[in-house]
Amino acid sequence: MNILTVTHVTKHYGSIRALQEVSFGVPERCVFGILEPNGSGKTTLLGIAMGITRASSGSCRLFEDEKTPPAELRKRVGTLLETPNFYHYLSAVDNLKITAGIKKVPFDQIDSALRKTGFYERRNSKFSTFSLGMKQRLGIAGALLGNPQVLVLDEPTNGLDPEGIAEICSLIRELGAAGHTIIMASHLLDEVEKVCSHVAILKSGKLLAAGKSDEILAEGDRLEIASRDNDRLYRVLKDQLPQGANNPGRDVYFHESAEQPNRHGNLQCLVFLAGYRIDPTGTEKEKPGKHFLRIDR
Amino acid sequence: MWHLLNIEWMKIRKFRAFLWLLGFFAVSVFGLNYLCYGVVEMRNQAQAQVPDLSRILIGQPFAFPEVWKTVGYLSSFLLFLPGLMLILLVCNEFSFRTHRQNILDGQSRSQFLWAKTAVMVLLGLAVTLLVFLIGCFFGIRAGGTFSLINAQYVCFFSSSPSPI
Repeated sequence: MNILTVTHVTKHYGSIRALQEVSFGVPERCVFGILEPNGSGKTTLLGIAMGITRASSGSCRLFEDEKTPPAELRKRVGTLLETPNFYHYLSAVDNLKITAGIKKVPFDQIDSALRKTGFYERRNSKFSTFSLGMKQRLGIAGALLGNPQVLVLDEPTNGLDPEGIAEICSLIRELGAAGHTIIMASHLLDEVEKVCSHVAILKSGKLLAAGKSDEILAEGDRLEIASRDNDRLYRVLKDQLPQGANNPGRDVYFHESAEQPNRHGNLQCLVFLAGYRIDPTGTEKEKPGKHFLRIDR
Repeated sequence: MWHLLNIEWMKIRKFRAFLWLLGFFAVSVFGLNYLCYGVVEMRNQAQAQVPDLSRILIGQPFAFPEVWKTVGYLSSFLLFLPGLMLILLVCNEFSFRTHRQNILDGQSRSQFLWAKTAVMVLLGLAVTLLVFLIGCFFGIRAGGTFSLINAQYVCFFSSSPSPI
């Protein structure tokens, strides 16, 4: 069962296209990373998933449940979206009491949540005195209240020092191992690689890839090919090169491996036979081992 | 609804600005009525030699049953203070985006609005009760038999706009 199913979600803010036809599913009991640069729509996407932002088109389904009201479904999800928002004049404990009250969770869970995020010593300090990192920790503590089945965390390590980042990453891995489903948005590839079992990569609001991390973010050479007609290219090549070809209809890419050193040569031959020509002047290297070739007819 | 009010109470009980305004309102309402009561009493004493004339010209605005109209009217000059308190409560939620956090935590939009509406109604009832008690105080102090005739003017106070 998918915990979250995103189907053709599009979101416009006036003339700005924040999301364009994004579709993916988040399997149960995984740590799912949403990787994209800043300003690419990940917070918008999470807001739509949580039902606080309305999509221009498309749909998001939590828990495959269309009958339960969205507010009741959100009680089963621990959410940290952007910067945590709490009452400035209240202490950490008092703020979490409000969160616990809304979620109908016993207050005795608050201390345990604060301890998990290393925030217990400052529990009686006012929120207005906290740094960004401390606010982030408090937000994570709030998300942990009620031991939710699903956690949705938007850049959970934002503002944290290296020790804090390591602590939170470790906590996420622990929670993932304990069977929670975690959806984590980040712009840091390193963070997503270390923590996530699955990943969706977005850029400029478009989904580039989605799947298991070890397939999507594989080390080693990777060849990406684009053309004016990706659908046709995909149809031509997929039978010949079965290891590759994610996201049909979008950028087609194939994984190189050491066992098949001649892939480039084979690929050029196939492409030529299909009536395409590889234009080497379009080569770009975005990261070591990754080549991007533009193909023109 | 009780659950929602409990959450609102957790937000309000340590909100100093709100509590200070509430206290200021309570003191000001009593103070304004007391000031006017004092002026009326002074004038009544000054015209004590002609008590009937005094009663005709000034009357006994703080005696039953006229006290309800008097106290309701005078207290309505400070009606902007409860209005300010409500504005503070609601605007804080939007300024600090805590309304968004409440909704993310599992409160529906309608629950959020109902909770605020309930606080508004309860605040209105509380200030009406305060004005009623002040009316009772001055009415008893001015002498005469306790009467609830014209007491509806105090209820109008809680829903009437400020004369300003």
